[in-house]
Amino acid sequence: MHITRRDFLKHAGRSALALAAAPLVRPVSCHATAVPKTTVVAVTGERTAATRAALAMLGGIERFVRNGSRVVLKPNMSFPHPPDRATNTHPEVVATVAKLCRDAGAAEVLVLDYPFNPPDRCLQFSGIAEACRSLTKVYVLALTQEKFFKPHPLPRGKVLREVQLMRDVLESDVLINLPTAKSHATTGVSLGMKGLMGIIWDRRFFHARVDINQAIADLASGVKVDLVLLDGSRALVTGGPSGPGTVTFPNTILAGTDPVAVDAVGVSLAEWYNQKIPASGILHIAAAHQMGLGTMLHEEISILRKQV
Amino acid sequence: MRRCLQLAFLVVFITFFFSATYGVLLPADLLLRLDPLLGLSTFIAARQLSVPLLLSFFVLASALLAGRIFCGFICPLGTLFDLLPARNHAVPLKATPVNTVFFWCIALCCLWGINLAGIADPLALLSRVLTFVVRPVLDGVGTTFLDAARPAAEHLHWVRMARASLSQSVYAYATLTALILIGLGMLNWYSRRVWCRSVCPLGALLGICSQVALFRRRVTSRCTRCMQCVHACPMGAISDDPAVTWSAHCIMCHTCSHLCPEATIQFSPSPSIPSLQQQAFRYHRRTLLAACATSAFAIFSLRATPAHRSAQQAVLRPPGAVPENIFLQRCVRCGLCMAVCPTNTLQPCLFEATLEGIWSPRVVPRHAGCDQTCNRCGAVCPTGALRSLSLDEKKHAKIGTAWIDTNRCLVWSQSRVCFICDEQCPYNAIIFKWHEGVRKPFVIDVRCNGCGLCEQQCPVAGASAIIVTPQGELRLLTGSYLHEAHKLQLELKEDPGADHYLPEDTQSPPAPPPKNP
Repeated sequence: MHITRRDFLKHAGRSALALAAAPLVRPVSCHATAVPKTTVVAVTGERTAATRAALAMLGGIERFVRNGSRVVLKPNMSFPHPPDRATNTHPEVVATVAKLCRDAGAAEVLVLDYPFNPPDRCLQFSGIAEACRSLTKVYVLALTQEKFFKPHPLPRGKVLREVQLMRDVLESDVLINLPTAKSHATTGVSLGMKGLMGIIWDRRFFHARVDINQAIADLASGVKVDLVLLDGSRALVTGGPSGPGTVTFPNTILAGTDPVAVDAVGVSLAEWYNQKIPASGILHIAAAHQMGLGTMLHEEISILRKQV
Repeated sequence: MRRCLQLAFLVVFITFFFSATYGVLLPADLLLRLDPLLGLSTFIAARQLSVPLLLSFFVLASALLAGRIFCGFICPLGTLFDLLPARNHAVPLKATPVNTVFFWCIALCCLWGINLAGIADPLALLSRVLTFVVRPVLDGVGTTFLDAARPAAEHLHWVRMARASLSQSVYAYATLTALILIGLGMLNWYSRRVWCRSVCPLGALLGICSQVALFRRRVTSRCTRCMQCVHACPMGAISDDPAVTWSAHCIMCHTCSHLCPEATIQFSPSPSIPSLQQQAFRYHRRTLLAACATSAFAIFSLRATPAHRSAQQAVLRPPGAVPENIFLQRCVRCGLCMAVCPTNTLQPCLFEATLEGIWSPRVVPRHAGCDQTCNRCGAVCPTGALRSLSLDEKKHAKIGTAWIDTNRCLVWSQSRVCFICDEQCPYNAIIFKWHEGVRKPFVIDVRCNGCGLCEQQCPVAGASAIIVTPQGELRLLTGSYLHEAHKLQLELKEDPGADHYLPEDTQSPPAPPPKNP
């Protein structure tokens, strides 16, 4: 990323203002802790600012990350593609959240994925490793060997009783899902819940042995995600998940604590495969809704919108 | 001094090799390019001068100047033999030197267009040992170390160290390669450097040159015939008469001159070439006859077989491989392409590509696909058997085409929902069409370059339900793959997908998407 002097001054000015205004904002954030679970915030605008604003509207990152927390961020970084291909979460979004977590006192922030593709190249080409390089306590890692996973029961699962889950996810205090908005040839779209397939070992099993849509819902039922922040700054609306495909620019960051609600709103961000698909038309979202993991009904979701 | 030089070259050889395998840009093939046997054999077999191998003429020239100094000072395999323990000193040879027969046999086969040099060439052999045996062992040792250190690293909060892992590269026929090395070690135990004297065809080539070399071993008249040098010579190059040297065997190591109590031995320029009676040349006719017979047998067994016709196209060659017959003439079986392959898809052949293709590389997609962001195999090939291509050119160097086995495909045979091959395909070569009420995968051949990512990831147990075969492979000796691919109307572009989740061009059930029945 190039930073012009003007940009720098602008950002510095804003940050200074924000800092100055911090005492004023605090009471608001305290209120915001009472943000109901079914709230999804949708912030349009420049992705870094939008990411910060979205988190602030949810009550600030401090609501999730405490001093000494071990945080895991799960972006999409499964493809050795540059950010303009929209197959991975945008590096600026990942770095922004990672920095906020660290500044909130996290002991360590692990940015993890299990890429299908050669891991070094994924971390490199996605730009995520580079974006987080200067951040101390932030580690961008690809875990591609079974020894980094361990069995985890899914008591509520209908087709899955157990999965091999990343050990680091199980041992973390906070799990923040940072999916990007993508179409997906198998599941229609790949948003938050589908993205969790990146923290399990045997993905083939999902495809080969069981109904993948129910399996995604089962996985979501057994993994506690503290926060989902969906990078809808771009959306890969065809050719997903690997692309190449048409990239549109919804220019929106979604965030919330209800994984089903965030995905349901995420579906409405773009026209997938040139058509409007209702959240109920995405079978894994419908399955998760049915299991009571959250709500996909628009009348039950309150969307807080903001422009930055 | 000699030992230092030897060790230095061994270290250089190994360093260059591993720097290449772990991605650092050093010319991994530099020492291979110094090898005149490989240079000459590819030149003769392929009837084409390989520019990188021109370096090897320096070594040839050095042999004309000072005999087999390459063997004594540079050859890393020779160094290895010097370092390994041996029961006996060199047992002097009385019979026809077999390596000379080997060399002429290889030369004659090359005239016939069959390049066997790489099989017995010391540098290629050592390079294969490093690739197939040493590298996997190092990976394994490294992994064991990391696993053992992991609890400590976690305790100390060394986050990266605690999660570090090495990918374990593995190669077919690694055991065979290891056994060959062990066999050579045992041979060396029986008699030091017996390989260098009796087998090595490179040694034979340099030995032939060294018979007319300018610098040679000379013994002055003060010699007391104490015979110490005769017994100490590591190559058995001194005859019963200490003054007579088999210069075809002498590696200019100076062991004898350091040892001589009377200091009668010199290695100095000598204008006169000793009479043929003192040379291995005296075996001239017998050697050539033996070589003719051996090469005739080799050519017969390699070419007079139906396998020669049918199996030539049995394997997938790496992208940028020149046409098969020229590929086999150029490939010196050094294994460097397999060593640098990041996905480990490149594996050696034994008989898969006929006996003639022994140790040549092939793509094994079920083991791993070809990384589309990598073009290293061509970049390290010392002989141009694999062309060094830009990433875009390499993408168009189609190595084969994927085929769906509809009897085993989960979608075709069981109407399950599975899209992994489609997910993996970088070029949208797999599309789904409605067929008997289910959306089923089809391969569009002009969009497939045979990378094999689909075959690797296919979730069907055992053999994949989508298999890449060499059908439609593109192999050019010269010229642009891009151009050729354009002529053939290949569409290996990363253009927006024609791949629609819900295709418009069919009278199909509308949204929501079809359920898994």
